[in-house]
Amino acid sequence: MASGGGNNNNNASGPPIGTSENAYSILLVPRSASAAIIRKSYLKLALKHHPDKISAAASPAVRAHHQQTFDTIQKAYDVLNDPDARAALDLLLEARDQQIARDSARDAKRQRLAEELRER
Amino acid sequence: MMKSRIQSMPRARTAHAGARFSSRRSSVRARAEKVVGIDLGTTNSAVAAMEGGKPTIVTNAEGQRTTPSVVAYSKTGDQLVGQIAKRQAVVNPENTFFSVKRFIGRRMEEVTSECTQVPYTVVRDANGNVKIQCSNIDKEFAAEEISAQVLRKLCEDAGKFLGEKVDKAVITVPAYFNDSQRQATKDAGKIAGIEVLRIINEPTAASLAYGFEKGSNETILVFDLGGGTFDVSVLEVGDGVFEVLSTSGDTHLGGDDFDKRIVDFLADDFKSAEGIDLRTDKQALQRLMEAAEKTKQELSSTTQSSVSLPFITATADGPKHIDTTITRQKFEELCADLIDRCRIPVESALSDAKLSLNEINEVILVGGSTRIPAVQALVRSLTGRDPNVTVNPDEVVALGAAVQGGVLAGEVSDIVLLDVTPLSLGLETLGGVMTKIIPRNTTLPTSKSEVFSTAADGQTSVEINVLQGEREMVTDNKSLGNFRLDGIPPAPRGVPQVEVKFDIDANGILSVTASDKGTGKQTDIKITGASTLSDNEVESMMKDAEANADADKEKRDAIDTKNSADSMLYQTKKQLTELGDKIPEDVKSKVEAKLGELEEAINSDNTEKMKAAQEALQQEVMAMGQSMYQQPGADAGAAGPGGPGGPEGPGGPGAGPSGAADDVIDADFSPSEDKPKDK
Repeated sequence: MASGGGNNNNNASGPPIGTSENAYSILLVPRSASAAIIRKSYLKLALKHHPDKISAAASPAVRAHHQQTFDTIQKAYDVLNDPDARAALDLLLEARDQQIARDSARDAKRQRLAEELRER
Repeated sequence: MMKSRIQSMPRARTAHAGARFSSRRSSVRARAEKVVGIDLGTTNSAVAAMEGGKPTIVTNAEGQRTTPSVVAYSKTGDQLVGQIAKRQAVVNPENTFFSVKRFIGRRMEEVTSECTQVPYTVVRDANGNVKIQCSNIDKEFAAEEISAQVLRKLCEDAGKFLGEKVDKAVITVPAYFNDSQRQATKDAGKIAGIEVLRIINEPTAASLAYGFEKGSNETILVFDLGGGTFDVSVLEVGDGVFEVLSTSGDTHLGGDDFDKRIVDFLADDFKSAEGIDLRTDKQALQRLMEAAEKTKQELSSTTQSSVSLPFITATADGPKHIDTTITRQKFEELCADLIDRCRIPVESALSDAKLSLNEINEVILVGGSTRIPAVQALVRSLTGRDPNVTVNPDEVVALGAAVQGGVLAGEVSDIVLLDVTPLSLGLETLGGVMTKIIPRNTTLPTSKSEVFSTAADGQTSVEINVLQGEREMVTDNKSLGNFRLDGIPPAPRGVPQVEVKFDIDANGILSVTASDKGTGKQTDIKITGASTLSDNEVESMMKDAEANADADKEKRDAIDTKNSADSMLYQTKKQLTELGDKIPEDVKSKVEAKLGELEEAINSDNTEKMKAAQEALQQEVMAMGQSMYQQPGADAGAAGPGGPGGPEGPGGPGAGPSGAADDVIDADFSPSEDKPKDK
């Protein structure tokens, strides 16, 4: 009766690629970080943001915010803790870096052209 | 000298009481509120609380560290809970409910084998859920209600022990409990009038208690074989984070099953010798079960145990007895397959954690059944190391629950628990197949969304069967219920987009919300076919339980009042005869008048009148005491009666005691009052 459709890809890989946030920045680790460093940082963040650590007296909005934060941290860790997922993310990030480099190169070129035009 | 002693004592007492009161008040201010940890076990329960930064077991009203999870109703309809209920089980087998945890949150078809193992009657209700019949008060109970009665006693006793009301708790469940069983346990707390701050897993709780004061980083395996369930969890502990890597278990395996093997052995033996099946006789079955439990426990420390059950039944030839010996070897032979079943969850937990045995630093044994030598031997052979036996297997779970209570109350700041969901969550899709949405061993809390559409033009509702389990086919998994989404605007099929969000909270309990992506409107969800109680049912059971508790309190108050009235009557009469004509006539007649009133109140069995009459008499007795002291040469007389037995004691006004005498007595008095407080 029900037809289940999958939009679960946005759940697994954290925030959409193209924004500045990615699993590495969420966990506050460099892209070269070892598994041990990633784990240590994750545990530190979990100790701070787990919903249990939020006072019961906090307002529902504050609690929801922390819940969201923990969810993001957890999902980022799930990606980096899985070697396959991490490799895929690295590929994506690299592609994005290249695109940004290309864009800025093109922008620089365009700017140069514009300047040249103005000079004439 | 004598006189000044009597007068100074109440004063010393008042001073101390005042000091104690103020210190308690300040400690209340220091911590927010008392949260207890409760290990609600299949056979026994335990309660712990954080005391001075450490988890400590709270003893019950009987002074015991564990309480049998047994509830009974006597012929007169009185409710009995704990040891007192367990003790009368033999004479009242049909109204004594134990091992109720095996039924909580279950549908009838899940517990067919359990039903035949208990002497009380288990029936199917209109929804296919389990109900427990109580003939003595002619009522059908949900398992939640029975558990609620145990919880209520635990919290009341803990309140008395701790000296403050206890209505917030962390309750433990087997790690392998599914959503319905967790929800049902939470409902039991609600029915008992307790705010359940968190449901946590038993092996996880055990690891919290074990690692609470340890700084080192360790990978541990918790092997928890309790009265009715078996759990294995693998955890990584370090830097204050307790991270569950994997969990596995068997919710149909526990100490009860070992008892059952002994019962069957004895009953089969008896049947072949005498031709009578004792299992059909409820009283005989209850005696057999108790003897089996005792034998099993004895065989953990001795190599053979005798079973003696005189007059177990009678035939035309006369009474029949059981008198035999069971060796440990025989017991192990009877239970060989049960012990072997413990193997699988250990192996699957390790493989889920992607760890090999030599990466485990410690194996911790939890649950009374891990005292069985054969179980310990299995652990040793499986893990190749001696298990850690530094924790008390009966208490460690409650202690860990108390630690988590401390974390939630903000009392314990440097610890966090990252637990996982033990079973995969999914949906029924075409062809009766389960499609997993949240895989097992996902860290909690977690959430996931799915988008649904309609299969027919103009369809306004969608029905989703939510499942929990690891099997491929729907029928092999547990259905948590059918969630029906209503209020979808009519549209061609496939056009509406309904986003359904599955949230598993830190308790491991699922909640489902849905919204129409087109309109952004929340969609209504109706749940049917769940093996848990509806909100309305919980509400009405809660009111029921409260009313019963109030009635019980009234009953107890009436009995207490009558007892104290009786005692006061006796004491005062005794005093009147002892003092005789030393009492002025006018005082005596006043006392006698009030005595008569009290006697009348007792005879009419009126609690309120008794209380009033007691108070009035108290006044006159005090006046009598006063008049005695005011008489010349009262010293000798006053030393005699002591006090009239009333709670206030003789509170006569001070007749100017000398300061020196007061000091001596105070110094002599206060150390003995202080000692217990310091400890």
